[in-house]
Amino acid sequence: MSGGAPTPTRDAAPPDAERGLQRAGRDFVFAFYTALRALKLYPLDNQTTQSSLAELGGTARRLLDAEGGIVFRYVGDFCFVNDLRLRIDLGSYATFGGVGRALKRHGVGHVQVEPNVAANEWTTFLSLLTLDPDPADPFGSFVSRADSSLIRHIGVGPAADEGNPASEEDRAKQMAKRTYSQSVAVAREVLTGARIGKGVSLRRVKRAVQGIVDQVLNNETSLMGMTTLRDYDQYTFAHSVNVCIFSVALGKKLGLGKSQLYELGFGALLHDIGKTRMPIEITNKAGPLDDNEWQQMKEHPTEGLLALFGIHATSELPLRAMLLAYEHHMQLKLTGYPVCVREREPTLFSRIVTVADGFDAATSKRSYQSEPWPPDRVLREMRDNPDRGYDPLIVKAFISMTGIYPVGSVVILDTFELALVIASNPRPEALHQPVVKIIYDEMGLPLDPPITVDLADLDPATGAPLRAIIKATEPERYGIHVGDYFA
Amino acid sequence: MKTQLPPVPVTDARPEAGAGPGLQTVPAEDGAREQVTDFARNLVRAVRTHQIYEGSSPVYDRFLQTLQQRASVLWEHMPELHLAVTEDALVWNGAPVHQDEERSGGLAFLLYKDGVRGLSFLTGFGGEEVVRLIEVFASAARLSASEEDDLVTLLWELDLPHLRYSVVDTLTEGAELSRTGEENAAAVQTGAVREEAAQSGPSGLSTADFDGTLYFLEDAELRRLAEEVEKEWRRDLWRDVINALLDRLEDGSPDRQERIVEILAEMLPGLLAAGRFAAVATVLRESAELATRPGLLPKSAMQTLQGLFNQLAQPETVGELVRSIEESPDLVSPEVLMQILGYFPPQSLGPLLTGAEQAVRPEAKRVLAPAIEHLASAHPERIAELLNSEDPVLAAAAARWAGRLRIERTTGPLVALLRHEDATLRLAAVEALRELRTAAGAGALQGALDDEEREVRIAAARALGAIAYTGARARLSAAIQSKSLREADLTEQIAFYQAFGTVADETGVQMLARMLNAKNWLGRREPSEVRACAAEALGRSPAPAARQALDAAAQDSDPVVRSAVSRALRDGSA
Repeated sequence: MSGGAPTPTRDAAPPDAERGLQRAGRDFVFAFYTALRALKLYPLDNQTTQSSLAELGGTARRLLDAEGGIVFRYVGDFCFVNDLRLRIDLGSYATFGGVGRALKRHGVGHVQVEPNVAANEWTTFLSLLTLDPDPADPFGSFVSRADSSLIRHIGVGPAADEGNPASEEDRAKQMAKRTYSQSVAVAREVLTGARIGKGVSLRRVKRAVQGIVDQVLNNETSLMGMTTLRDYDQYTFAHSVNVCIFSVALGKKLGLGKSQLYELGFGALLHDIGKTRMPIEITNKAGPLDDNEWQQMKEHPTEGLLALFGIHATSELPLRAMLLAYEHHMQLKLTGYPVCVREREPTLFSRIVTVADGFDAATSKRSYQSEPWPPDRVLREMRDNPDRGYDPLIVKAFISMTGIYPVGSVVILDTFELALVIASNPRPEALHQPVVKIIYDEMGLPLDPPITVDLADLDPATGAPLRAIIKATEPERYGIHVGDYFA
Repeated sequence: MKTQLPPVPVTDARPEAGAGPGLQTVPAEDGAREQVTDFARNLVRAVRTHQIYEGSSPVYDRFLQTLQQRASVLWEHMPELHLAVTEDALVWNGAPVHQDEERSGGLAFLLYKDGVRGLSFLTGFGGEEVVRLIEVFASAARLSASEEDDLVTLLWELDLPHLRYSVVDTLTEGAELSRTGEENAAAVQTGAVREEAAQSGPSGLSTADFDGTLYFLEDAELRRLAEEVEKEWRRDLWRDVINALLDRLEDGSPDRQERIVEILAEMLPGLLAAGRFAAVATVLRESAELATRPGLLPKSAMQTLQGLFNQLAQPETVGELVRSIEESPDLVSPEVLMQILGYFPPQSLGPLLTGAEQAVRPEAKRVLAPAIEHLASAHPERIAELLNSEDPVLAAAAARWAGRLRIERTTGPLVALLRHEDATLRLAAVEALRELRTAAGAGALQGALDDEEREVRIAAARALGAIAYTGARARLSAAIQSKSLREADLTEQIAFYQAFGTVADETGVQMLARMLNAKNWLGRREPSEVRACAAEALGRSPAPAARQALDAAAQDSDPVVRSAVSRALRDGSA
């Protein structure tokens, strides 16, 4: 196989040709899956196996005759044959998912078939797929096994092929996951250390925040997805990281430069450091706080301010971080806490972090909050209720960043499917049409793997969107753990 | 089997730090290894010489130049250069191109120990980027483990456009988030979704509730946000932080109040050092005000506060203040400085005077003067005490301020200073006594007419003339007739003559008139200089005879005399 990986688009294909390839491609994938399954279940000389291999040879031949060659590849949850994205529906998702998983476990991203492929090459190729991969180098070992076989007209490319959107997406996701988990580890170390009076390693914090800034600048969506990993046990640490991510992303939208984003992120990560000076029985209390406990809890911004006087090392005091810690519950008109005696206008950074903090806290399950709210409800509350004290312009910027249905929202579609928002639509006019993963079908059955759908996609026949959101719902209502889809 | 080459494994890194093409290897070609090795060698040498000579030496400049040349040559042959980093080597295409000689002192180890596992130089890397990168490497080598930066944080801040790097965070690598353990796989109850879809809630929202246009930021809003960002970067964060501390000093537990006072006390030196005088003034003013509120602050906080104000009187503190004023790019306003010094105790006056005396920057002296005047006026007794200082610079400064502020009680100490061995001090005392115009002081100034130092003698004569102290008439008369004054320079002579002219009586005027116009028995007049001095003296006298004598000499043939007479008639009292 020579040349680079094909680009997975075929926008200009005539409708009839496209329909034909859709059908032929689907038949090919089904035959591939059936033969593979037969080889796993039955001996080679079994009739079922033989007939399924023959069927695969036949469908491949028809496709090769029509197209001159076959390249099929997986990009995320999508399957492409010769650059055409095959439609995955409820009658095919398991088959497509099965083939994708079989290839992926060997690190194979795409398969290329040349016209003169022989029947026994298919048998060997599928047999190799049924073997256990070498965990140290799945792709390399697969290639090595294949090279020592009779396969000459079937080639493979790695899943991490350069320029492959799937691998880019996976890599971005892995990067985001690593950045996120490392940042949570740093937040844990810093906040736990602060509670026991241990010195804070600013170097670690710096690295974590720099990593978040990089990630937001390079692949914001992946990192935003990580904020949905709402882990009750690690709420305090994850919340700090989430607020950092939301703040930096919002700062980016407001046009802040890289070093400014760092400063914003640094303060955001440490905005709740004052809580480390609150009694642990209050911060971890399962249930509402009484008046006395609330009074104590309201001291955490001041304690945060004072705590940050103790963590500077060789450079200047982190004044912005101090003000973030001190002002993040103050509210725009100073109606929150702590009470102001002298003239004060909360800094822009504080107002940004206030919005990020409010959004993440309200959508998370935490100790002294009974149940989280759906993201869209939180956004509306932030927008419409002046008593919440958010800066309306910052809220507006935040919503224009997250979309009406932020990443992590669980929505009901007009097809009665349940879907999870995985990315906001980059087009401003399509804020209500995010990219979603359909995780339950219309019958309430889980889809494995989930199907990724851009809700802005139109039905070519009618020109209307294929699917639309009816409403957002609570993931807990259906036992959905949103974070599992981003991890 | 036909395959594509698998990609080179990407090291764990942040996205900018090496993901993507930056880490692809470049196929080896003829001579390429030699070029890369040469580049690496020069990179290492440049870093090493920068460390040795701290970036300033012809040797370093030479290596730098060579490295820049090597880099530009490199880009003619390859689009990028990726070097993998091991514990003791820089590796290209699987083989080392540099090996550290000592494990802990080399460039590879410097990179490795902070988690850098790959460096990718992109086409265009060169010029100033090379300089900055080497500076960062050299800085990182000097960092200790306890500092807030390491090579990775410095590289991030450096943000070079043609450099990518991959890093691992060895401490958090492998950190995993704990999972709830529940699975998402269970089916939902048939019809549940349809049922909920038919209901309103829980959010009660639909897409219609969010008018799409509402959430597009309009141009005016974008401009406002841009202004907010600008404003944020200009705002005085110190003021906000200090106000926060002061607000909370007004409430909270005694323990917290004590902590805040300690923070304020620790903060002051930093503010002074940074030239944040307005903030210092605020802290002092507000904490002094809060300290006077009955029962507001606990005893311990009051003691800390008292300690803070005591500390302000220390010579070192005030000396630092003056130095800070001198070095601050933004000169403090006299008003703010007066506010600050208003909280300084009298004991701080001494160090302040010394500091002002030693200040070099004229602007600093100008700013300090009104502040000193303010403090000295409030504490004149302290000025009198300082006249006895063993430090002649301080005593001289105190003398000048005693005169400037006309602190009469300082006459005695100033008179005593006329006998001080330090001429500068004697001169300052003379000038101060001139300002004081006290009888005792004027009497004492006569003694200074015989001072061994010319400047002191001149100042004393001028002072006596300025005061018009008639008690000095006889001494001045004797002086102008003395041989020693005739041998003195013209400036000294004029000073004495003018002083005498101011206090001369009729006899004295006659003597001066004779000096100006009379001829001796040989028909000769006094020398030109003596006649000119006499004219200057007569010009200071209000007596009619003085005027007559000057008129008589108005057409004198001696141009020196004629000029002096003309000046005396124009400027003098005659």
